[in-house]
Amino acid sequence: MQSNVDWLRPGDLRLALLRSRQLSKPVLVDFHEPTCGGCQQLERGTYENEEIVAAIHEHTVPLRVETTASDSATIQIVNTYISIASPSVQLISPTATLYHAFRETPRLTVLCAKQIAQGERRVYVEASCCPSPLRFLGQLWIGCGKAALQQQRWRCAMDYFERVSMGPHGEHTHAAEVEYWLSRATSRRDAENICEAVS
Amino acid sequence: MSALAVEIRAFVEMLLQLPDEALADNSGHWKGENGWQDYSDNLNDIAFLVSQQLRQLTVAVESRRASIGPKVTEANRILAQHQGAYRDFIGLVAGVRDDELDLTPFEKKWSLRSNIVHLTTAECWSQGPRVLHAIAQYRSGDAPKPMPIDGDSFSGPPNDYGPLTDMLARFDVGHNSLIQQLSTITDEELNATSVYWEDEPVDVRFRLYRFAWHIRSHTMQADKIRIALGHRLTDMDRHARLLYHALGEAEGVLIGAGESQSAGLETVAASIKARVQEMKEFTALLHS
Repeated sequence: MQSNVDWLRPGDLRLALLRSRQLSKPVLVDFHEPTCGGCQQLERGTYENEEIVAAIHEHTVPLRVETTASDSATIQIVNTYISIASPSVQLISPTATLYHAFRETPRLTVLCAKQIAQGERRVYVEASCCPSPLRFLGQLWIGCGKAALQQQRWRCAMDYFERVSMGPHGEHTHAAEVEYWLSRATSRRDAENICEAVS
Repeated sequence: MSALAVEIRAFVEMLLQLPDEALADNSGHWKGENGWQDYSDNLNDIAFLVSQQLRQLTVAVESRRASIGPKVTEANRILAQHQGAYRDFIGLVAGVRDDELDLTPFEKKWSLRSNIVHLTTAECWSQGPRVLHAIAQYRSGDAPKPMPIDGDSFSGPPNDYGPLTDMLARFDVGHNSLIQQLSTITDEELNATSVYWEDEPVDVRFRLYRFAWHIRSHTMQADKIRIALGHRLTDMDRHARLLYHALGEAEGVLIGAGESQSAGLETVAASIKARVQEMKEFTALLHS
């Protein structure tokens, strides 16, 4: 399927993680399930939006997983990042740990181990939903902010969270979510400032 | 949250603010009752006393139910095991700091926050509603069918942000509501068929057992994360785990007991509340 996003493929995971480390950008993993209405809406409404595509390219290393593929790389990623009701869009770190699971994206569940062992993995759509483009962008900034928090880049994290709280995404995002992460970043930055002042 | 759980949480929070040395305090501040007068010289003894109060409540409720009911159903027993697993998990994460929630010491593995979100999602958003759906179909005589994916049949998935107390409070609300609803399942209804994501349908009994098994697997993960984050298991932690374990046992035998057992529960809760007050006074003295 043609997409406006330059997706890496499951076999490129190591490359994606390497780029993530080198560029200090999280890997954006999109689990695309062809039978999922929400996934199709994401493709049409969000991944065709120029602002979002530009943001994805500038702030993440995008990687798409077609969940119906049966190659070992796909199976490994699906088994690592999809369990029960797992959001279909996730930001992961250079060490392949989860930074952020996008709210309101479709929820997927990987099907049974017997099939996985036979290389016949299937994915079950638990909830087929789709965030609006503005909500998606808000989630992207929150996720990038959480990534910056983990990297102890407090000011950078605050910038991302403030994009949401002060930008047009604010009214499309759960205020409590942004407030929580912004307060975490602010308190860590303040604590560091105090330490620097004391030393 | 039950009155009993509120008081145990408060007691554990007070304990975890103190160093292990405080357990040996024998300044005369502590005094047990009902046979414990000569066995309660220090805070360590008081912590064991509170655990024992919970265990005595467990035995008392079990005895009363055996003699006058309500009868303990098979579902009640299975859910009691789940309640034990649930409280063991809560006891394990007690004392974790908010700034540790998102740390991921193991590659490809989740943070504590992700574990909590997943447990809440799996129990209250995914598996739990499927059991209720299967029971509703069974009671109405309908053939087993998967639950429709309409998004409106159950509340949205849990938030994945906020301090630990908020995360656990959300889990607690969903968990308690589910246990309450599942407690009415009869022995016969345990055989009802539940169709979900598996290749083959399973019965409701299997799903109920799955709750505890699932939470215990994540308790192991959470334990490893705690250790990797540098948490040394203190005696206060050990008491916290004992207390929550005993709470889980007591709550377990109360599942399906209805209001008939509330008098004994309130008495124990009031007694523990008094201990919490003593702890506050003791802590204030330590810091004065």
